[in-house]
Amino acid sequence: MPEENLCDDQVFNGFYFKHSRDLYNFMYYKSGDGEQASDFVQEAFIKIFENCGKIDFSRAKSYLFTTANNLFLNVVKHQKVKLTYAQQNPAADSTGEDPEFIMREKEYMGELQDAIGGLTEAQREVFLLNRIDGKKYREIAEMLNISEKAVEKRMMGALKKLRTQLENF
Amino acid sequence: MKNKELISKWLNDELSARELDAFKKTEDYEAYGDIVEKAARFKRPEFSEQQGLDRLKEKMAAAHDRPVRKLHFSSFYKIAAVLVVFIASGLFLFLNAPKTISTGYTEMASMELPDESKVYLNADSRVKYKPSKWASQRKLDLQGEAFFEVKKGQKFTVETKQGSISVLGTKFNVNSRSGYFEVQCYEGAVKVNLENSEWILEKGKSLKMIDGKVVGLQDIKHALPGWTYQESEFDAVPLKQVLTELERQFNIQIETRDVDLKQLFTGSFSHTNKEIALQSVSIPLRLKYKFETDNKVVLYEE
Repeated sequence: MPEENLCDDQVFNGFYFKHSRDLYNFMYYKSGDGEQASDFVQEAFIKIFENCGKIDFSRAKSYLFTTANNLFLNVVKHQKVKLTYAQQNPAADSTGEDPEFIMREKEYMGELQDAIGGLTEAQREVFLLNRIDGKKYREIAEMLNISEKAVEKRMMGALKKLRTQLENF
Repeated sequence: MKNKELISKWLNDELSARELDAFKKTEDYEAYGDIVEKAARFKRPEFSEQQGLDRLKEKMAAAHDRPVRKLHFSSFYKIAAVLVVFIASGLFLFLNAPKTISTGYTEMASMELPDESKVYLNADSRVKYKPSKWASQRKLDLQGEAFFEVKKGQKFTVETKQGSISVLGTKFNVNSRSGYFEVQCYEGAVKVNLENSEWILEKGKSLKMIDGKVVGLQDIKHALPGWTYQESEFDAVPLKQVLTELERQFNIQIETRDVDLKQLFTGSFSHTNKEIALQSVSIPLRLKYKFETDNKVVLYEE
């Protein structure tokens, strides 16, 4: 099979479709800002295209994520990350969940939202990639260019911190 | 955490159905189950791959069309020689020139000083310092509001109109506006020299001065100044200051009718939405507001 070349339009598009969503989510969990996340995605892919002749296809993914991460580090002033969450399924209301339960639930989600915002960026991106996107440690390690052990360690750190934040629940 | 290995496997989706059932009866699950399962309910904004790709192609095409002119080798040297002269003289001026960083309305900025100390600037603020002298004297001028993370070392001084603040290495916030001055210490200790008095602020304390009068020491509620994460917070601050901060964050003009500007406001507003921000301030004070134009607001008594 011939070596895949990123300068080729089709190869590039394929590469884009394969990784853009993951990269977007990753950048969003870092910055908490959707628009900024999509700018980072654009810039990182442009960098890839500009260097398409120099990048070995097998390393392109790691190059892409590292580039985006560097772009992020260069500009971002660290802001508090606030995610939105899916409201309770409306059908749940009619099954007789009492209002107090719903309120407590809402309170809990708010508290959890704050606690996630309070994680370090390193912990948060790993935790959310695992929880929301259902990524395995191996996949996350590959994205971040770190070891699986390090991913696991960050997960545990995040979990412990969230637990202390939510002690009252 | 009793059994880390099991928790780790659980999170990585490696437990068999039977192992999972057993795990659900453990203390670990009781402690972490809710967090882990409910965190999965959070959403992120939708991302459209196709839209992104279209935009990307547009940008790439634009970059491609830019003409590239090749330099002849000989002219390359000519230009290089001229550049060397420019750079040499420029460097001399540059090294001795003070460096200024400023922000306008709605803007914020952050910068690193030569010793890796960090400065975060709120809207409509300015800092000035001399890079060439930094090694021997860590000193800068501030107008407006800034948050500092100072690396340990010799004395670090912030000069403002109302007074100077000196530290050895800590985190602190300074807000120096007309008629208002506040220093908040988030780590270590800070010394504040005012015209007639000297104060030592310890971690978690803030010193406030309204119209030239010291109000006293107060406790800080959060680990960072609110504005660094897009929220302006006030603890018994004259309404006038709150309104000018609104003007700075949203680039609007606020006019008041029969409103007591000296009354104290306690609360906060977020920088994300100006309507909500205006409500956060007006509702607790029983005031109403209306937009006269896009960026002109009138605040009045009900």
